[in-house]
Amino acid sequence: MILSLLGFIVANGAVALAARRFQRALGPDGPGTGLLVFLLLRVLLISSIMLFTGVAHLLRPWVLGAAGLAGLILMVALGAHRGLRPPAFARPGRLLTLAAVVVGVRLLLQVWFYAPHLGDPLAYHLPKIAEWVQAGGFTREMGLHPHATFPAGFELIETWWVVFFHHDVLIEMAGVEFLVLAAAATYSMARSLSMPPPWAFFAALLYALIPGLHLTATSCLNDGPAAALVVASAAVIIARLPDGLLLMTAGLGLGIKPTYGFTLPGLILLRVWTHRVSGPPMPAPLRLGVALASMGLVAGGYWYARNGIEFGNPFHPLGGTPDGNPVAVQFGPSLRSFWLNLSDLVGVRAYDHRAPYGANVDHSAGWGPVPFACGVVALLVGARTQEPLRRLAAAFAVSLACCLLFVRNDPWCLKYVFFFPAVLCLATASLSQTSPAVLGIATAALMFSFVGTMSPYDLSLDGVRVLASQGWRGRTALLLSEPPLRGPEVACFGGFRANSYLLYGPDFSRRVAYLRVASGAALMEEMAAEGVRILYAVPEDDAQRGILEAAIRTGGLVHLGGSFYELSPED
Amino acid sequence: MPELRPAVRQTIGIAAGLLVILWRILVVTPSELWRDWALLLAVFQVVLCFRRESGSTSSLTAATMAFLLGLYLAGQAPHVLAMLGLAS
Repeated sequence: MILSLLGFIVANGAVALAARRFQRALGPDGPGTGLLVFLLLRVLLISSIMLFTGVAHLLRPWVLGAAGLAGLILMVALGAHRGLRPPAFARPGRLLTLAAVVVGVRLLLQVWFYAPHLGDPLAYHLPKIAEWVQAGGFTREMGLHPHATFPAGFELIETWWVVFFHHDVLIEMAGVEFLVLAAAATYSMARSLSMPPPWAFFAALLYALIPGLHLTATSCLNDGPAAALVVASAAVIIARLPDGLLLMTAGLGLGIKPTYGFTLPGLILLRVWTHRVSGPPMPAPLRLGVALASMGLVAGGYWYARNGIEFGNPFHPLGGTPDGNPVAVQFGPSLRSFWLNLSDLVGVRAYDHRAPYGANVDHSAGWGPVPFACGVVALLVGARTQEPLRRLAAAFAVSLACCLLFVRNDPWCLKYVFFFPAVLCLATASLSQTSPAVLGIATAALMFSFVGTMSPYDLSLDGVRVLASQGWRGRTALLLSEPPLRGPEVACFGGFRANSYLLYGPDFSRRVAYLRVASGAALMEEMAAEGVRILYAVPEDDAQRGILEAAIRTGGLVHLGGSFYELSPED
Repeated sequence: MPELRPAVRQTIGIAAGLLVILWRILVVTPSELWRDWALLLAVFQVVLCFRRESGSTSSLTAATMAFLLGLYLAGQAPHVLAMLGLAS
């Protein structure tokens, strides 16, 4: 464990030095852009390293540690450590610093005591990470969920947080990293809108505590990171940072979630308007700009290229018939979806009254009280006199409209537009500068958001207590819904409801054999062939239920409790 | 974004506000109109277009925000209290 920790520290040191070196080569930091650019470059470097080592099957702690050491020596030899200062970030004042520290400490505690627990990550985001870590590289096996082949840019960053330790205790740090990026981008935008540092910091804090976005950070979902990169793209544009950096950010965004692409019309509009009003972006060394853009686009485009080659469709499994598919995703625009989503957002979900806060924002927007009570009102007031704010809001509105046009109206669809409240937080902070009453209301709303995001509804405080009582080495959400699982291997049968990530164990020590069978007899034969006696089965439809029941009826499988079964001794 | 003359912008602001008001009146039950978020915002927008920046505008803004915050808390606060174990 000591060696793993050393390797992790050394590799992060190398990445930090390399990011700072790139950052300095791009030019001096603008007002409020220091932390934003640093974090973007860090995400790029880690994504590239994970992608390369994943493809080359070098995804091993010792390889990454050794490469990190070599990188660190190289960076020091190149003088990257000289004149090293943290990215420029003005002090916001005592109260705001205290508030940020409290939020930060709570996030770290959540990272430590939470374990992956939400359905989508357990069923299709995380099983591929477990397979990669076990195999030391990318694998064809990624689990049973039809969405397993979706772009996995965020999973690369999560892998960085688990591969050194061969353990997932810090996996939520990947989401926290993107939450910090979202806050840094909001801060940068506020500075570009001429807000003084303390008010820019206030805007960043307001956005970081948007309930849906905040809870996404520790949920292992990729909607928060996708939103963070939309906001970061807008921040890069209005700070007039080099286009190479913008293309890099866009590449990373597309690699995390295709929903980033839905926001491009608004971002392109913002880029055109900013160019017209404020002039072209700041110049950057051509080769560096091209290199950054290429690396970002490769990191994001890899998943689409892989799907294109393996399945003949870059967007696989999208594009097929959605009939009878309970997890179908809309492919292409739909005016009907737009209208339903808009009506729902405005008439129902903005109130957040139908469900408690959670990362999936069931039947809600998850925007919280700040945008609802203060944000739109402040925007209507601010947009009358502030042309840059008006421009930004118009661009975000176009991006929002495009997203609503492209996503199916299901109970969770508004998690794809977590980027939008950023502009409402900016407007709120801007108006708070001149109105103590608005500041008071915004602060009250912020405090409510803080209290409301203690824990998501799908991980009750009792659930957190169960997790905390397990000790970090064995901490797993499996025990929240299933009996304990023992043994070095397990078979998994089912579909999109099978939370197969839980089977690997927090230290990825258990082998999981995925069964894709068409009969009860085949199920038992496959288990025997794999040398596995324990089965985890969560059938997704009548056909799969029939297969499981057939195996039980013949006496070949014995129910152990929960979703677990065992091959009977005579088999 | 093309720069519009203030009068044009004001006309667009009023027209947009009136359109939203009409939409909400058509789709929301009359007894629920008083607490319709979009309707309140649209009325605020129309009123704003007819006023000059002043102390009373600030008071109106703060009063609107306070009312909306109350409206929001009435819906979400019971969930938060239940999550914290302070209510059933």
